[in-house]
Amino acid sequence: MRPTLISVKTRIFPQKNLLFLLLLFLVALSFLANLVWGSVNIPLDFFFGGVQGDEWQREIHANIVTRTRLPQALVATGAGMSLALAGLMLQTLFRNPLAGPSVLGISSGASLGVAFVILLAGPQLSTLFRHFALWGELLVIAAAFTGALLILLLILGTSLRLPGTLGILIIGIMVGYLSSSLVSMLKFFSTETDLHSYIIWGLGSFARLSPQRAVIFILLAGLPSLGLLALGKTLNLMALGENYAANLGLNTAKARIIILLVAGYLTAVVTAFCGPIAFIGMAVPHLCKFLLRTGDHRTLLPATLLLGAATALLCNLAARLPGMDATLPINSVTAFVGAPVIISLILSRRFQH
Amino acid sequence: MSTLLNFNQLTTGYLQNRKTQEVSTQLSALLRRGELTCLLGANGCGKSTLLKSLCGFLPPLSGHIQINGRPLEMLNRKERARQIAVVLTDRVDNPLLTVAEMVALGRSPHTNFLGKMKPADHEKTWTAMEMAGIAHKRESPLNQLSDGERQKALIAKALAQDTPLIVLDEPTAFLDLPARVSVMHLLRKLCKQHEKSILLTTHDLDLALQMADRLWLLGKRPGIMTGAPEDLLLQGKLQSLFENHGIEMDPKTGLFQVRHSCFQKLRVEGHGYPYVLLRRALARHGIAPAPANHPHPLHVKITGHEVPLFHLHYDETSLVQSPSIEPLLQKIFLLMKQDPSLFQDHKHFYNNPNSVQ
Repeated sequence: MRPTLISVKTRIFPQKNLLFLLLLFLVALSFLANLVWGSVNIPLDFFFGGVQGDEWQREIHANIVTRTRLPQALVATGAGMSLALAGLMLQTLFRNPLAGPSVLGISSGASLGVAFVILLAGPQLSTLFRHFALWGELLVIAAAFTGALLILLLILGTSLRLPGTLGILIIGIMVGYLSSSLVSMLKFFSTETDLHSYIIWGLGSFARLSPQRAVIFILLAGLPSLGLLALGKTLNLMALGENYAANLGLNTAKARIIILLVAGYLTAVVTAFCGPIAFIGMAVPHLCKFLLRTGDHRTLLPATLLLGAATALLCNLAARLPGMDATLPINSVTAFVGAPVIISLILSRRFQH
Repeated sequence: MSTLLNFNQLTTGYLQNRKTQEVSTQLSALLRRGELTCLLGANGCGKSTLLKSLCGFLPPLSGHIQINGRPLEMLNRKERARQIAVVLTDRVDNPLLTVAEMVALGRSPHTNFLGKMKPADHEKTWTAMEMAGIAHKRESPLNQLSDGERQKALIAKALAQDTPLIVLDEPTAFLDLPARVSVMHLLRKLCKQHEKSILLTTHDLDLALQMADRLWLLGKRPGIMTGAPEDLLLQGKLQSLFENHGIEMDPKTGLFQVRHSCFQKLRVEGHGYPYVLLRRALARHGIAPAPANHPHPLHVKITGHEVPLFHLHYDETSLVQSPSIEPLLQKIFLLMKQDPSLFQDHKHFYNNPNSVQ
């Protein structure tokens, strides 16, 4: 009796299920760590119902957790999974291991939008910022989102006219350069205070959002990410190459647009709310393929989602420097995590062959 | 045998910047069920363009393609995916995908949006891998396969697609000779035992002549020539495809060989396999064997039954005597250097510089 594929699957799947459980556990653990550790360490009893200590301290802890740490952890989770998924989809679409959310020029578009608001309109808006800080923050988010969407529309428009994906990749990178140069022009003519606030925005942070905004962000970024898990078959076919995919009945033009649209949207949302976050989108999919040793996107998608969330949470924790009063910008931490991952993966891949 | 695919007065080409660029015109041919058809032609003659048109990747500029009695352009994506499967030269860039996972993707036209595999789909995936002889590698990732194994895995993917027609673009390119023969044997088996129709392009002339049921020849002139390989040889159509390209057909074997320009002549007495091989060695160096009545005193004689013995004579003096060809050639080069006129029979040379008899 020959073995059946189903039995092969069940032989492979327990390991994969175990890996998924491990990943879930990792996400939960890093989420909890984000709540516990910081400049003030909150005892674990606080979360697991042990009623100890005085009322006053409990109230302080409750405040810290609900006002800052919980929103931060939620934002990091949503941003990590969105960026990692966008990175995986773009790497598969462009068949390029160095592709990531930043290559489409979308984060540059967001930066340009924010630069317009902060640098160009800054002097006029400074009064507004002073009196209505809330509206100023919203304006920045809206500007970033608008800039990102405009670039996304531009890229979608060109993708309709160009066959293949190489052209889109090149146009995305060039558009990125163009908007960076526009930004540097704006920087050149702006005041020092505006420049400083722009630079702070560009460093990226998961800590900017109020609890209500954090929930909105999770709804905008996290829910569509979950919906993406259905794209496994499409991505598997696209990874075979567009001709094979078309021969297997896939509408490749439509698939390309969907992938660009979704990956672009996720990048735009994250960049608008958190600023440009580097390296997570590029490094996590590689890490995921390395850990799971599979090229099947039906497995890779959920695993990338979990690993992306965990990575962002751990980076956020590291940036907070538990026990100290200072914090680091998130991008400096993600670069220190992402760059070595990519270098080591590329080196290990070379040694394999 | 019934017709699976046919096309009539087809013009293939590209539509670029609102201008049409014709590649081949006036193409008419048909493909029968259960037959292996090889599409031959020089580089750049439009083989790949025709293939793309037949697969539906590139709409033809004019003319009609019918598959299973229905016009190709009337089929939607899914219906087309159930009629034609392809094996292309495109690189599959998903190194960690296993053979089984890739072959299972061949079931895509038969599964739902999520790619949910039913037991029947697993079954077909298995059968396809077994038919292609790659089931033993089912759990190997694609980057650990040899070129021949990767080609078989792609053929298995096409089989899993469960289509009456399989189209392959240069399936034997980049393979060594045993792998090429093994892939062609596999394709023949699929035609004969499983009633698949297979169309492939190749530059492997000898292999195509021996393995194909029918040949399609695409040349510089409009139209396409079709027929059994032997008929095309008898009619001299294959030869015409390669004229002036330094290739000639050996009428003794029906196989093609390199044509050498011969400027010198040497009388050779002998026959059989040793004679054929010596003639080939001499031809490579531009020396044509001359018939027995050639008047020159220098000549080669082949004797021996089980093991051949080659003699180089000048009149009756034996210069070299050896069971292998190389010492003979060395001596001939030496003589050639010392006295080039030894090999030249001026009357023959000027009248008939290319003659090979």
